[in-house]
Amino acid sequence: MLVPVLALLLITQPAAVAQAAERVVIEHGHVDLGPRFVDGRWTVQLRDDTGGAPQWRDLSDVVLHVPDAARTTVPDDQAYAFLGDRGSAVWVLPQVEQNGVVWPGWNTQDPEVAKAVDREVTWRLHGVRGPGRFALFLTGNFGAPQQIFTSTTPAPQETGVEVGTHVHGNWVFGAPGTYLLDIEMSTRTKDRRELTDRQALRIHVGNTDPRAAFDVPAAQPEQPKAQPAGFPWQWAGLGGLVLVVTVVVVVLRRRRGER
Amino acid sequence: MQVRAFSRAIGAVLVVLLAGCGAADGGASDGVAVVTTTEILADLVRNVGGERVRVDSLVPPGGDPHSYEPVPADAKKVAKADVTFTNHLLLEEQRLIKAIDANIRPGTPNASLAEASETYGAHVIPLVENIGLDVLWLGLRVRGDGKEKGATRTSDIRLTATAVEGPGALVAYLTETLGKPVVYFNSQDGLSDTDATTLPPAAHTHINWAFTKPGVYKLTLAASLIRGEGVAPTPLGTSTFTFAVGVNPAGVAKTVLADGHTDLTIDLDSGELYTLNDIPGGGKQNVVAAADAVIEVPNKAIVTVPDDPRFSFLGQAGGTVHQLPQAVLGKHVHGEIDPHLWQNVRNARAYVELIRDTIRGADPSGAEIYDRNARAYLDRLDELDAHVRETVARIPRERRQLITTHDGFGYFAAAYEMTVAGFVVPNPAQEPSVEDVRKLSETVRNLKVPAVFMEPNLAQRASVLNQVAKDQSVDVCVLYGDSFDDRVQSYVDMMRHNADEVHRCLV
Ligand SMILES: [Zn+2]
Ligand SMILES: [Zn+2]
Repeated sequence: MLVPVLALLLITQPAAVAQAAERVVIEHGHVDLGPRFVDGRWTVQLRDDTGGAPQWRDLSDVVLHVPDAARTTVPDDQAYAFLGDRGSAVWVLPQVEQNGVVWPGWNTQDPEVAKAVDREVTWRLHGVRGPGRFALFLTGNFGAPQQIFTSTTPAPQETGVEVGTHVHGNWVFGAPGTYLLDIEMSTRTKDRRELTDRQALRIHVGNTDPRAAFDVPAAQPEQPKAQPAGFPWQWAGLGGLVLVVTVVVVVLRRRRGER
Repeated sequence: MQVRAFSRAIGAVLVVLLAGCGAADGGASDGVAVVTTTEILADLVRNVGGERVRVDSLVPPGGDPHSYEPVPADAKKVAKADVTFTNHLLLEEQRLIKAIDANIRPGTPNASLAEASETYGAHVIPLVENIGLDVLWLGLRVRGDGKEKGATRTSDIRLTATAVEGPGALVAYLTETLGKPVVYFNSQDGLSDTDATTLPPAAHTHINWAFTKPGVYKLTLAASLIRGEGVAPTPLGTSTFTFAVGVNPAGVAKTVLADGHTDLTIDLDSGELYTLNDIPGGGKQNVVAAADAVIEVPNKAIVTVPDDPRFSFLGQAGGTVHQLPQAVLGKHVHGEIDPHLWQNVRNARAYVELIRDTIRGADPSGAEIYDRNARAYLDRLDELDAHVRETVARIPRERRQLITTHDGFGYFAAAYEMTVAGFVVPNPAQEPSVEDVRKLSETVRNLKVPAVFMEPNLAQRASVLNQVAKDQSVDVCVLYGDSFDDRVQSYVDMMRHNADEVHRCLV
């Protein structure tokens, strides 16, 4: 319903200002997804603690690499049937740190975010593109898995992340290859502003070249404008966040229709 | 402020409109007809509307809004109303809300107070879904690079439990991704070299911390640096951490660690072991020395040992342990808010301002009267707030424990610095399970509270609470939650009673 109005706004949006930041493949250590204010704009980024000082990176500059060492099999336990047939191969980034495997979590602890957000951040998964199943779940007290997202559930799915919190979960992939998670984080601020940002997180599974994942575009606009390749999620200027979301939804719908 | 100015502007527009079309229905002759869902809301409206309004509460006196289902007469009342007020946020039974939405005349103001009062400064708190997760998230961490001690990225840090003192056993274990438990420390059968774990530099991990009996525990951890095979380990440091399990942590140590995120941390640079704590509302962390901190493991952390041989190291299946879990996500229902806002008088203040502006919009010619009434009533609420605050403050902090029939006092506890130690069921429309009852009795016994609190309108459902109180020989006192009775007929009296009662029963 909002599409025509927003499509008009699109023309007035400034072109991307993102510079060709350093692109990194992260294979071990601690990272967190989370919202931040980048130049005053609510943006989903990745906190990278794998170097010396923590560094927040744009998602388009990052590939998380899951090596074959993370491969295991779905247990013979009905509680884990959502991961696939028992005995089938899955690649797992565990909830707790495991040497030699990247440890991704999510947090809402950026000081500016913690100050601005009223109660919680809504984290939405709009879809997953990849060669196999995807699931994100928590292992609680006595092993009962608590599902957060699964690619077999209709999208969008959402969960709440309380402000000022930091959580880790189990990330499970059902086949080797590149996965794009289409994620959105939105919130209402204490001064009642609605903020949202939607980005693609790239994960490469298996011992093939993870940098190939950078070449998979997040979404292809119908008429690629002067966007640097691989950065199509970055064209939002001030106030253009909703717009980007809407356009992306439209594009995705259309793509689905083509299939 | 903006909102107030805005509704004033709307009020002004309505004055013009009404002046143009003469005497509108409802008129001042027989007063503005207001329908509310609960008698507490009706009382607030009466204090603002005075003689100019006729107020009807759909839930009858003493009724429970969580379970009251509408009758045909309610539909008629709603159809005649000039204004309706609901609390909303799932306080009222859904059919009651639907009955209002279905029967209200088009254009009639219908305010959801709990939702809309936030713009008037009400402070809301999220609804707790799983109180067992509303506890401290406790982990292990290695901090610093330890270069001076010869640590490298490939070094290991060995952490050994060398002593556990306490009334029962302490078991720290990790449940792995696919459900397999791995025990780190278990004092059940004494401690040895196997009660240890190895962490990489910069490690940060979260595990389950289980205790088999309530009481105060002291866990001594020793850390050493392993630089490589064949090299003797370098001792780093030793510290003793204190846990208050099911008992009151106040007075056990200077700083109580009760919620948020804490890691028992090995500092590779200083060699110390201490607690590292996230400071709420910021990205910063602070250090509290092991000797100055007590980690609270409250009674809401009681869990039943599953009937699964993999977890038999915790004791008999069906027995209970107090346990801080390795993952705490899911303690709150995403997007849902505790509806009992009025238990904080400052929130009732916001309700009153919203009621004033809503009625004024419906009956602009009474604006001055509504303003005057509201001002006088808001002054009384300010006095009331001060009285409640001051009365509760006279209860020693470690005695400010609330055990109630339903989870309706979260706002009271948050606003006046009490602790919700337990309740029979979250929502009075639910039946307590065997586990709920057992958890409740253990809570009463472990905390040695002098009294539990019953809501008079839930008296017929309070058999569980009465039985537990009888078994543990504690008093049953009365707190008003969602409605009045024949002794208490107004919001001000109710809150006064609640403050005086917790003081009388807990001191
Ligand atoms: Zn993290
Ligand atoms: Zn931690």
